[in-house]
Amino acid sequence: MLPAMAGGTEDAQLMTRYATGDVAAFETLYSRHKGPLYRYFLRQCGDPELAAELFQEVWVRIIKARERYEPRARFTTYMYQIGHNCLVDHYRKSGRSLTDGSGEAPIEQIPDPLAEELDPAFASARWSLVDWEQGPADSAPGPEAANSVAQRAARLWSALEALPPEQREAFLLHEEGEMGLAEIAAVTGANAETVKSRLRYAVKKLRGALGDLAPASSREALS
Amino acid sequence: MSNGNTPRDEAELENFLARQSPLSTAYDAIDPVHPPEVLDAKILAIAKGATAKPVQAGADKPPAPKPAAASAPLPAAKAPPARATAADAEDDDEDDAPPARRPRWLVPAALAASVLVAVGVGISMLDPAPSDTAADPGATNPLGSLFAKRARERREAEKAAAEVAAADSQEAEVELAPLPPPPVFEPEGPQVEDLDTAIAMIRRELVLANQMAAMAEEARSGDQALQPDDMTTRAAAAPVDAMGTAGVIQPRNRRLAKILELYDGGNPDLAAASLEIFLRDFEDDPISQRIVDAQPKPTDVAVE
Repeated sequence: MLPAMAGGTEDAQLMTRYATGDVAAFETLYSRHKGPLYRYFLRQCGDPELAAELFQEVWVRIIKARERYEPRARFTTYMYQIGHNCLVDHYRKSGRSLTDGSGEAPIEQIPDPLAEELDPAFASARWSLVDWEQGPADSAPGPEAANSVAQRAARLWSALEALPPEQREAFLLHEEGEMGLAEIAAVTGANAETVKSRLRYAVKKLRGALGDLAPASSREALS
Repeated sequence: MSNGNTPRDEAELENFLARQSPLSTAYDAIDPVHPPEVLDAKILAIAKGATAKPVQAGADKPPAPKPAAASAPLPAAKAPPARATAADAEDDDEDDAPPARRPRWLVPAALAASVLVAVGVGISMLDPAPSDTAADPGATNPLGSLFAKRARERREAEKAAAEVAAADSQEAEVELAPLPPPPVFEPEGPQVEDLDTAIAMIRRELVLANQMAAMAEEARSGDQALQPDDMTTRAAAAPVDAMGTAGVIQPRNRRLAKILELYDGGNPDLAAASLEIFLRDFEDDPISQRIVDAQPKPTDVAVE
């Protein structure tokens, strides 16, 4: 979803230019990252007003720290780290925590329904990645296919909202911030293995939520 | 796997991390929302306004209308390079309200002023009398006065310590010195050098006194019909010692008898001391005269 970027180096150059007073560089930087950052907040907290507030706070902090910015990491990592801290601060002020914001148990203790009900062979027959990818994408986008895509998106959106916050954050940082495990770990303050575990659970749950929308061939295999 | 993850789960995760998962495709199909344009305009205005004034000057407030040249880089806004982290950015947010009214040098300057005031008060409290200050060669310079004062105080302290040490050493010497001999009191009365002779004389005196007393008693009981003139005659004829023994000198005989008891009881020293006291008290008594006369003279000792 993030547009093609020249990389963190260009972002750092834009930030450095803005530190010297080049507002156009900031506008480029902002237009490049505003969508992903806003969606990160919106899909993490689910409240447009709160997302806008946190979004603005992150940019204000970046603007104020522009002259002390030193590109030692990707700008994206720097930006989302501020965003993560703003989110944690918000949860702390509201008496909640990012970990237990959903009221669910920590992720390591979450019983995975898919792991219990599906054995690998059954899951493979039920939901084939190859079939799922090649099904609607290769066919002509007719009304039925478009409806299927919309249904998948809606289903994924609902499943994403149902994820525990830390798993959802890891997923969003990967999708919106285009981050790897190490960068997600740096942003969230967790170690890489924890992040990997969170992503594994998130992928498994989201995959399960989309299983009903698998292509017809896969559904036939299930029956 | 021990945690319930299958190889397929790992493969899915790897695909997801490589952005080759259908989840990513499905996620991209969700409506890509963007921040409101109003929010964009506000943030861009903040960014422009921040470049037109110092960094700490409230960057989160929408800037006032300004000329186009305001967006040009300002040399004064350049700060020394320092690493900005996410934590730094958050710290900036905490003090963004008053930074323009609270310069960074304010706290150090206030601390320095407090220290100076405290030092001044301390100096004024420790400052000696004006005469001492005038006599001090370093009094012209306040700093020199302080050092001179401290040096003088140090010297005085060392001097006092030396005096205390000397006094202590003297006291130690006094304590270690031998005790003076006890005072010797010169005897005031006659000394009894030959106690045995004196005791023998006392014994004879008492025997004689007893005999005289017995005779007087016998005469008093046997001559009830005697005339008073006869009594007066006999009394006048009696020796003086007998009269004294039977009447006024009775305590004298008791003290002599006590001296004899001490001597016979094995306390010759106490007997001698008592005898010397007796000789002083009854200096004119005949027995005292005889005892003193019977004592050896110093010349006799020297001749011997």
